[in-house]
Amino acid sequence: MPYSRFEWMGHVKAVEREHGAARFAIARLRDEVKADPSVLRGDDENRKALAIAHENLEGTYLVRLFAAFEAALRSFDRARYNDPTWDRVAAILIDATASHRRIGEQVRDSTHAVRRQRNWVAHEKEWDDAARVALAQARSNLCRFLSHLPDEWE
Amino acid sequence: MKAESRAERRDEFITKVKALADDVTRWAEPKGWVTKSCPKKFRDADHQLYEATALFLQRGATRLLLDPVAYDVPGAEAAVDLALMPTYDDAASLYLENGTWNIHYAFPSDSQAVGKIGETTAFALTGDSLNQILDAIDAHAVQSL
Repeated sequence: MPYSRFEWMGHVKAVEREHGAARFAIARLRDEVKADPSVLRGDDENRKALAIAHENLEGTYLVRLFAAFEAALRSFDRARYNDPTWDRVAAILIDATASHRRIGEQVRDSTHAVRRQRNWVAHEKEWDDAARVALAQARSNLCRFLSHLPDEWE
Repeated sequence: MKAESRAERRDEFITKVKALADDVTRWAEPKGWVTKSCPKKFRDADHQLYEATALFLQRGATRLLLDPVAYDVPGAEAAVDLALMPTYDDAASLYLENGTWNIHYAFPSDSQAVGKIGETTAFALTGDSLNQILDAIDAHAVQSL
């Protein structure tokens, strides 16, 4: 069955939608607990972790967002080389695909910006606030890159 | 959700979304939008695979996707998004509420771009309301590279 670019892009968008629901739910619970701590009485572990869960949520979803993007790109790259085991690191995958599909520098570089942020989160490095990409912008950058892939590949 | 109920709601979703795509095509095409439908695949909670109709719309450089999202939505029988493509930026949302489609959209001021919408207003979906919103999205869309 061929892989569809549209489905991969939808998968990336679905991760962002899920983040929106999780952010809303955690923020609401946090506010509720702040107003009435008895909501989590007897559940100290969750009470302590609630604030940090809210703080780290976007980073957590950024890792998933990029994973969905990377899976799409890897699927395309493996089809391109007709090798289901073909593997290369994300940075090279992005550059090679950009070169192959003649994707502009601006689109490629904005994709690398998301990849770097994914690395900061995944490897628990200090965030460079100046280079920080919000999740919605990250989804936009990644979907724009994916839009340059063919409609389908085998 | 019981399996029988899930299957019924899923079938209803597929039917209602197809009818929505047909209505949008009928209303938008006379206003210069070119449309193309395509199936969107879903995997349900019971692992059942199914397809619902998605609809691409293009006028000039503006590309939109009428994107089925889910039938398992609190307070609604279905949700469908209208997204700017290829970036998948949110433009408007449609909810099937009590058997009627409503479109939720925040008309931007002239200085605002679509994608930075705040509080939305719900409008009953008609040919007129849809085309007003499509025109506003088109006028404020940030064209993609």
